[in-house]
Amino acid sequence: MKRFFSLLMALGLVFGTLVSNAQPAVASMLNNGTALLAEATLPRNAVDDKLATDYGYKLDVNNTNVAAFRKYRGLFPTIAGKIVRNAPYDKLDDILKIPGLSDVEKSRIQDNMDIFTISPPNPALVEGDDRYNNGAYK
Amino acid sequence: MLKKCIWLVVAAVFLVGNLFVGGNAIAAELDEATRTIPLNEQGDTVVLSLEQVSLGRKNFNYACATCHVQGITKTNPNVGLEPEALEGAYPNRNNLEALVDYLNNPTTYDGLTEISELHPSTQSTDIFPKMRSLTDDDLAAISGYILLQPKVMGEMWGAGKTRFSAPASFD
Repeated sequence: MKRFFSLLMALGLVFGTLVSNAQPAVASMLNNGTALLAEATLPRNAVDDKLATDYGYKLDVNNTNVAAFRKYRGLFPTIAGKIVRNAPYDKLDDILKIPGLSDVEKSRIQDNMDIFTISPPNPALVEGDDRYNNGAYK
Repeated sequence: MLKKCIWLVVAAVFLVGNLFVGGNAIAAELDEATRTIPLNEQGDTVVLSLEQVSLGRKNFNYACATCHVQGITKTNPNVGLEPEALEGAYPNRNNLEALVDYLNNPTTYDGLTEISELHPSTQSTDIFPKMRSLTDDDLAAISGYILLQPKVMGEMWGAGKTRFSAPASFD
């Protein structure tokens, strides 16, 4: 009887090892297959392409959401609100000519001029008041 | 006799020893290093007493947590109470004195407009009656609690739905 049990245990061990080894291998093969398939058929998103331009790294005065101004000290919410409300602009210097800008606000914009950029308004980013509230909440 | 009971002795020593080690581990969660928080913008620090911590927690939950539960801001989810958000304010609010000053004289995130009629403060106890019962000690304890919580909860403090239910990758 003892011998029978030890044989059973040994068999179980060998079989168990075989099975548990086999499964991850199968799973990883499947993963590779789907990843290749996804890369080949994934459509390009126009906004993703825009993120690769200056828009993704700076504050685009014609397109960037008001919440993104928070990353830079002293711009959110007063200056950010004025810039977004008076968009679109033809050239970057126009943000200094916004009516009703106080001296403090003007000097803060001037100090931060290098973090601003400009590009034509993109409907995907501007329409539906998306610059005020794009629905990305915490 | 001792030989028979040696296992009991070992178990007793183990359990009593564990009591001390375990007890220390629980107290260590709020040791002095954790309770050390920035006092002002010049970089001075202050150690909160355990009484201040419990007073701050009590008063934060009483007066602030309606909107700032777990360090978020319900009325503007873009600006929470996490250290990064407090640091980005103008002036830097990531210290005890600046937060007490905020509770006496609240301003917008860029410091340009005074907003005591929109945010509870000791100036606007007529429209925010909960502020009436808070003393200066209470305000300091609340501010200390706000600065202590990120050390206790880590990034969960002020994370809101970015950690609880929504995908964490959006900005």
